[in-house]
Amino acid sequence: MFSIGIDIGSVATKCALVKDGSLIASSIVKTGSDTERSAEQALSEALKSAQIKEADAALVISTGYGRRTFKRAGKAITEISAVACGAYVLYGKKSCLVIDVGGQDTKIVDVGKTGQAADFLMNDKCAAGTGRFLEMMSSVFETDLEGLSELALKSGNPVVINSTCSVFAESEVVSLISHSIKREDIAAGLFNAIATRIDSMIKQIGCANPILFCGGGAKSAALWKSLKRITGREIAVPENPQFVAAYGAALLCSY
Amino acid sequence: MDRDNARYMKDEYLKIIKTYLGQLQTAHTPDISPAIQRYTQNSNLKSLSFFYDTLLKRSTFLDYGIPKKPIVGYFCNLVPEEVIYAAGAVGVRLCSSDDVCARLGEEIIPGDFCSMIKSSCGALFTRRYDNLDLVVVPAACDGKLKLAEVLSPFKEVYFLDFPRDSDYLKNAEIWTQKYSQFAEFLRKRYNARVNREDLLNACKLTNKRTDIFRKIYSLRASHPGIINAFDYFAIASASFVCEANIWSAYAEKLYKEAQYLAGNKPDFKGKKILLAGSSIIFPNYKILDILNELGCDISADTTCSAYGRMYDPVEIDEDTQDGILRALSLKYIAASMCPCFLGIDKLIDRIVEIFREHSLNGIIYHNLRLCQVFEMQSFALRHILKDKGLPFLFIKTDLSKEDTGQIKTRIEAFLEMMR
Repeated sequence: MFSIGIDIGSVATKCALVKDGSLIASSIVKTGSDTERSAEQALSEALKSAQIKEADAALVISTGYGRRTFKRAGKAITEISAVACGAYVLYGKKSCLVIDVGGQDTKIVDVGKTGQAADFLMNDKCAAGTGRFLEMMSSVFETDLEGLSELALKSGNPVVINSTCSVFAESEVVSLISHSIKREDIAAGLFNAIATRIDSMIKQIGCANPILFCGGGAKSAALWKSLKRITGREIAVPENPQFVAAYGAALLCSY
Repeated sequence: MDRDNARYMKDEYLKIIKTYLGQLQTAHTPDISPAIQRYTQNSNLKSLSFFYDTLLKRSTFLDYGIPKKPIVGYFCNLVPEEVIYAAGAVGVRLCSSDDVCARLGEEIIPGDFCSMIKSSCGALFTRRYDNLDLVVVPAACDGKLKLAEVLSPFKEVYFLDFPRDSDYLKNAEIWTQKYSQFAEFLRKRYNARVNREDLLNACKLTNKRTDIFRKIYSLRASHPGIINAFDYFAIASASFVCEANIWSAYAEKLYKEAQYLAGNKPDFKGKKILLAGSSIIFPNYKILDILNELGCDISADTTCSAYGRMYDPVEIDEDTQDGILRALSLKYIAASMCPCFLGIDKLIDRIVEIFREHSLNGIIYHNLRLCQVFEMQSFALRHILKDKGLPFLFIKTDLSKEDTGQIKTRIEAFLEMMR
């Protein structure tokens, strides 16, 4: 029997099809203004790629900020529990610490021995230090997250950027550009700024478990590098970092 | 502020305030009335409507409805209401948590300041202070201290200062002295006696209120959901603007109704939460509404707006005038869990004690954004309580509704954690 997890995030809607604990198929679509339609779309794409019918699936569990809008879901759980469960299974059913950098949230989840969240921290209502911040900074450089990340990896001398507030950081970046500071050094500085903020969240949680980095932000090698350097810890990135919550939601069907 | 400066500032403030006149019929956050309607309609407790009516009518003070007695407004849970009663006046607590007022307050106070201070200042715009004879401001936080200065051109302000260390043995004498000076001030102002007998009578009045509050408190702890958190805080907030004897009479009625219903109430399936941290004052019931929607109950709290305000009685060892005032300082200052005071241990002990006594499931520490002292102690609380195995959630928010969705996700995840 298949189980389906749909993670309706602020930027992307992810769908995961799981059988016997393994990810069979997945799909990702941009979350539009109609979250329910985005969820339907992600679902049908995933079903199509796996060539199965929805009737063959057990329960559909929705998660993410739009979880309640997808009325057909049998159950809605928070992205915190979903990501905890997904990370737990990916990490060989051991306790771990999850860094999840999403579109408008950055979460730190301390995953306990049973795969449930034991504690968590999220950024404030402001989107400082989240995927949205990186997106906005990318647009200052007229590129996307991938481009910004590639740029940063070339840096030999990152500048110090103090703000993770997109409004303040943008003016800081514009001022640095006007001072002819190298673009790659500014880009690397931006990733360091976020990593520093995440590091302080990890310290607040005070958890020594091994770290797993996921969410859309984990696709950035530059952010990963900054995080490793600033936390001084080993950080694992799973194969499909963006699907951890959707995968976790699908796994929770069997609980 | 000296007289000339005060006069000048009053004119300046009035210029701003006047631009709003006519636009403000009520001071309340507009969506509170539908919420109240929802709660009263869904409740089997008939006496609830008294408390909601009181809140809606009186928290603007345009219609206080008590003729002849002077009304003394005060802030915080540190001013002895009993002394005000003993002087033949009526005390009303002014701490405001109204979002509409908070936004108005920003005309005078910086935007990045505690919203309770902004709201209490913005209440000037809604003529909330018009019917007051006097405002008493205690030396709690810096915000309250400077608020006294903002309000002083409009009303006579009595500033009640004392050391910010809640150690009883060290400070009881100073507190007694400060309370005694306050009594003397009221004595002169109202040509009243405020003697031992008056004080004893006033203590009886508030002790009666405490009695009933305690009954409601234990009924709620033993029968979660019988009076939901939204209603419970409304009952408590109503006591801010209601004479103690009237409040007690209605609260007694409500208690009897609830007790009767408790017999047939099905078992409560949700989680039982302890709410600690910043006060929850009408109409800022956002968190309560979310908790209710998610099917859990606040079975106990340590806030200065409910438990902290009414749980402790005045316990008089020595019934001389100074003895009574000392007992009052014990009730208000020594027992205070306000982070303005030194003494986080008291809060931790109280939280652990209440948590275990009522077999609760988790602790939510509510931090009104920009109250730095509450936030500063959250780090220690998180670690110490976690170490003791008590599930802990920190929520930072303000009076606005824009983060309702995010708070709901956090609380929901917290509840999922406890499964």
